[in-house]
Amino acid sequence: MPRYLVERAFSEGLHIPTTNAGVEICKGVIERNGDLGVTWIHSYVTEDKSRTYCVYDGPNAEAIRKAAANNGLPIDRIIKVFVLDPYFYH
Amino acid sequence: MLKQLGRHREAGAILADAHRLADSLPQDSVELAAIYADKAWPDSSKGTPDKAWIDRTIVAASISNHHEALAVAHIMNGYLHLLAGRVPAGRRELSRAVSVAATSGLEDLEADTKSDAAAFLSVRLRYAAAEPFLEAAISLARDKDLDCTLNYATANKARAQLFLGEWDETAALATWVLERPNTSMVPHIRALTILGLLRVRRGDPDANLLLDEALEKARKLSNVAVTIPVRAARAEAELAREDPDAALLEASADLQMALDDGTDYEVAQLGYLIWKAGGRPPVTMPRHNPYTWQVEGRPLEAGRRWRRLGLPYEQARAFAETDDVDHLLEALGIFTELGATPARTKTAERLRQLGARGIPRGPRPATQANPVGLTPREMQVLQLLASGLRNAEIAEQNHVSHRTVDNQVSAVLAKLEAKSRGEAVAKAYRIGIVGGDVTANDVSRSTSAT
Repeated sequence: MPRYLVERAFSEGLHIPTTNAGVEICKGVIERNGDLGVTWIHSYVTEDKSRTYCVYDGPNAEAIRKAAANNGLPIDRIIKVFVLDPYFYH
Repeated sequence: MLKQLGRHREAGAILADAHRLADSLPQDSVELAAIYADKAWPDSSKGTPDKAWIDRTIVAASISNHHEALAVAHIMNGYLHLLAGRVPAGRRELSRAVSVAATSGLEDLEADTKSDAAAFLSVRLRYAAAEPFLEAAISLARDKDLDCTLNYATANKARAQLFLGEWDETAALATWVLERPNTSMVPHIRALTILGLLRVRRGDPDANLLLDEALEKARKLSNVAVTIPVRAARAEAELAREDPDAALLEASADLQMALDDGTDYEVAQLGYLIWKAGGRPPVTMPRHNPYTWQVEGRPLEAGRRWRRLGLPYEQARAFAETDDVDHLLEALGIFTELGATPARTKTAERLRQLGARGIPRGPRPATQANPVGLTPREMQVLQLLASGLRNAEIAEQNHVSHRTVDNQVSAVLAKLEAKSRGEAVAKAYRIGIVGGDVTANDVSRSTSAT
């Protein structure tokens, strides 16, 4: 399963309530992604909350876009990436 | 239907005999019309139909009341008109074929005729006109389990939607074709090409995977209508990678094939891409063609022509070749709306070089998707209104001032064209942007993870 880095812009900032509603929403995202074989691994958010860099596993770019559309999320760019870590050669 | 006549061809020897016998068959013989239709265009993947044999087919088919042959003959006539650029006459003939097929009561004939009519309209990029035919062909083929027609028409619909700017739909249709078992080569390669080109235009990864496979398979098939689009898509991919030399190689590789057997648009498209890559387009660039106008440095005329044809990406690409800020801004807007990120980035850069100010970043997709254009923050305020909170409570929850909330609530009321908070909430429920369950919309507006 290829891995993708998805860059998203939130011009008004990304606001997630730290309430049960927020939990439900995240669970909804995960479920809707699952229908498409897309898995949200984790995301990095800029300090001003205007951009996110989200790591996904998924079958292809179209599935990543469909998942974003189902969740009403913007997409700036999709980049295919591979894992590299400092102990790669050990 | 051409394909079905093609199946007769498998029995080549028998057919050759039939051709010899044709002269001795009586005028009202049912076989005669089918044999003439086959003589008019022995291989529909190569060459062009022969007018004299088409006319004979029409006479023979009318006498013997042979619906298939009559429909094929009008389709072939329509194709000849379209090839020569006589679009209204071509469309008239295709409509005639469709009505012959529709009144024949043969549903598979109707499906095939509509599918073929759409395919031939695409010769002159009349994708908007082709779409209803494709829609009808797909629904008939699905009902009657006509797999071959279903795959072919779906791949062609994916292509139409790409050029008409419906890119999500393109992705869904092309993916569907690629996932079908036992798809024949033409629709399979077409789906690979279209999805590959879509990835190129969106700036998505792995376009080359699809376009390499498409080229490999197209080579074995050696069909102009399949090969030229693969080469054109690959040339676009190289241009997007900023490798004009590689683009020139791709656009030139099968130019001769296009010049020998291709349509005006196939030749013009390759010529345009050669020019884009810094090469010399063929001396025989077709006249009255928007690609040719672009090569001749008349991008405005070309852009307007593309707009009339309903092809937004092609229109924006032409406008992006002007030095005029207004048209560059229009191109930027179209690229933004399409999600054509690489072209959008380049156009924004050109505008900055020209000293344009206030280049719009474009509407955010999340806001665009909202039917009344509420921002994520306004959407969250609406949610809180719906759960019965007063302005003071909203202010407290969002850690903002009363005044800010008052402004936000006014904006929400204005966008929903509501006079009161109650009316706004009722309207929001009615149009489905708030609801009992957490919906996709809520995620995008109020919160959104990742």
